[in-house]
Amino acid sequence: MLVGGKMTAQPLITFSGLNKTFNTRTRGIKNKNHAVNNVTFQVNKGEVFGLVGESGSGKSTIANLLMNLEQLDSGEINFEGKSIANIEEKNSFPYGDIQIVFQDPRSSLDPRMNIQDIIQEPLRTVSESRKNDFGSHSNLLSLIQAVGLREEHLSRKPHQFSGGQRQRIAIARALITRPKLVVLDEPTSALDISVQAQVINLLKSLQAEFGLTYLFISHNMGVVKYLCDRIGVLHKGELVEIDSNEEIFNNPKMDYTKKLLSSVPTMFSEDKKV
Amino acid sequence: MTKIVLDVKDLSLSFTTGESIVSILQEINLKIYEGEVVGLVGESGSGKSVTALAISKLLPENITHFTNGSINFDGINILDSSEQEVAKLRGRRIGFVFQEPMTALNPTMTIGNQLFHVIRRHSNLSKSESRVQVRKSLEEVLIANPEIVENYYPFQLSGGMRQRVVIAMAMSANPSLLIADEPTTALDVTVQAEILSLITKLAQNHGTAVLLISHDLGVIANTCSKVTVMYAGEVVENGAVADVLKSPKHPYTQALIKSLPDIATRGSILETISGEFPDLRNRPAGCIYSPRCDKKFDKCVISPELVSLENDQQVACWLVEK
Repeated sequence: MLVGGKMTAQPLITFSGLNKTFNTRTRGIKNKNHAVNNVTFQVNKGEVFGLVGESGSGKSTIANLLMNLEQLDSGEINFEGKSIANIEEKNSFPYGDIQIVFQDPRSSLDPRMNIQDIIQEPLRTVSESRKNDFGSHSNLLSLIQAVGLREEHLSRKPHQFSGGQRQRIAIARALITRPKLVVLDEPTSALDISVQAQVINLLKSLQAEFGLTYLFISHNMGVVKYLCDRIGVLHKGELVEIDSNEEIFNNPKMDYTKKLLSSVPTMFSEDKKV
Repeated sequence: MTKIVLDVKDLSLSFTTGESIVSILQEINLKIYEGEVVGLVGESGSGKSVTALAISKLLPENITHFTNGSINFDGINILDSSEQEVAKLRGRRIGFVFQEPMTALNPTMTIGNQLFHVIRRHSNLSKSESRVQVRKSLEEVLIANPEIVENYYPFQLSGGMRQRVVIAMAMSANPSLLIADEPTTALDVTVQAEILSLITKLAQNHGTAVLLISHDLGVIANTCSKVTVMYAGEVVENGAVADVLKSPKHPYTQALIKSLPDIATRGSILETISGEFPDLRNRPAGCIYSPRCDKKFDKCVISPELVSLENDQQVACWLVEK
């Protein structure tokens, strides 16, 4: 396992000079919103890269650009040396290698599908050989066991599960194609504290078991500090600081990072704000 | 001795759901003094919001049964008061701030007009005096250029600004109690810090008692002087923030704090609470937390009462029995 003692950092995915503007209209006046502005960073194999920032900072836009859900204005996204930006032919996108888990499992799971169909759905987007490799029932069973679900859950529908269980289902769905990179877009924000702890532990153990690389998008600095190896701080579409976990939290360089960290209410701060 | 603004004693209530009656709150005790900010913390389904709504009798009457206890607000017995009497308190003597400011504001009315109506309803000011008061209220919640902002519609404001407007409305009648139910959950952290300090400052200036409901222990620690921890409709622990959060006595409070990633060392496995939240239709007998508690022993088959310790910390657990 690479985690901990990474000798050589091998990039798995690189983002260079990403730009994305949205056209907006306020009271009839056309405007451009520069959602992502010249963003460059890389995520190395085996690491957890945290992307933090407040709402409107561009976190989720970057995830959408990566997943080919939005089109880039300019810039380049390279996955294992191949360009994957602005792919028009949906089938050419390496969905088998890159998967995503969204924030709210209540809205990301189709209420009319049973759990087995939900988890196996991503297999429809991958190559025939990959489907044969991972589409078996035994593979499904070992996966749902890995995320802490049981075989009898497979025939049930999403509404029969708690929020934490639904997020486990969403995670299993992301892992069914055995991806290399998993994008986690605020995966614990909709969960209670005690459930959040379970899901975080699960993400850590799955990372070790399946050799995953995570792009972890969050506004929760506590979770980011606990989970991420390197962190990029976004502010109004720009990446203002990238550094190791230790540097960001102990020695932040940019004013915005400092402001962000000092705003987080912590339980044991000496100076109470009251 | 400062005045007690809110005194909830042994409050129990149930909801009718379909055929059955489900006990939602069990013997809740909560006391708030003038000018004090008290936190109410717990996970979803713990009864935080129901408690807040019960205080102002905002629960649907046809399915709610108050089975025990009393709610005393400023000398008024809320449970024995008529709907008309309680309606007079709402907005005037009990102010509310809810989680999502966009749903609390009317999207078709300007900020100024909404505030104007609230002020007219709850005060004896004339129309022109109320117009002046609108700007004063906006200034008080630190909105710059109130003469411009009052002409804006809610959609033209950021989430933080909207919540400031809601706070201005809640405080406009100078209430004795402000109930803030997850007021910053929908906001960014930097905005959250501003809103929380605004609430505490206003409470201090006006001597308003504040009940701050949150699932975020960090928010509670930074804002409140006292905290009540709820689990499955019961108060499990209660006391000064410094005592409860730094040396929690109830196994649930302890586990909750330990499961926060904020204070855990990287690489370690986070502590979790085993099992699941109890089904309130089938409350476990004895201590409500015992099925998930790793310190359970034979005495836990009997439901423990809140026991007061020397530092006024109260704990409902047999382990701290004197």
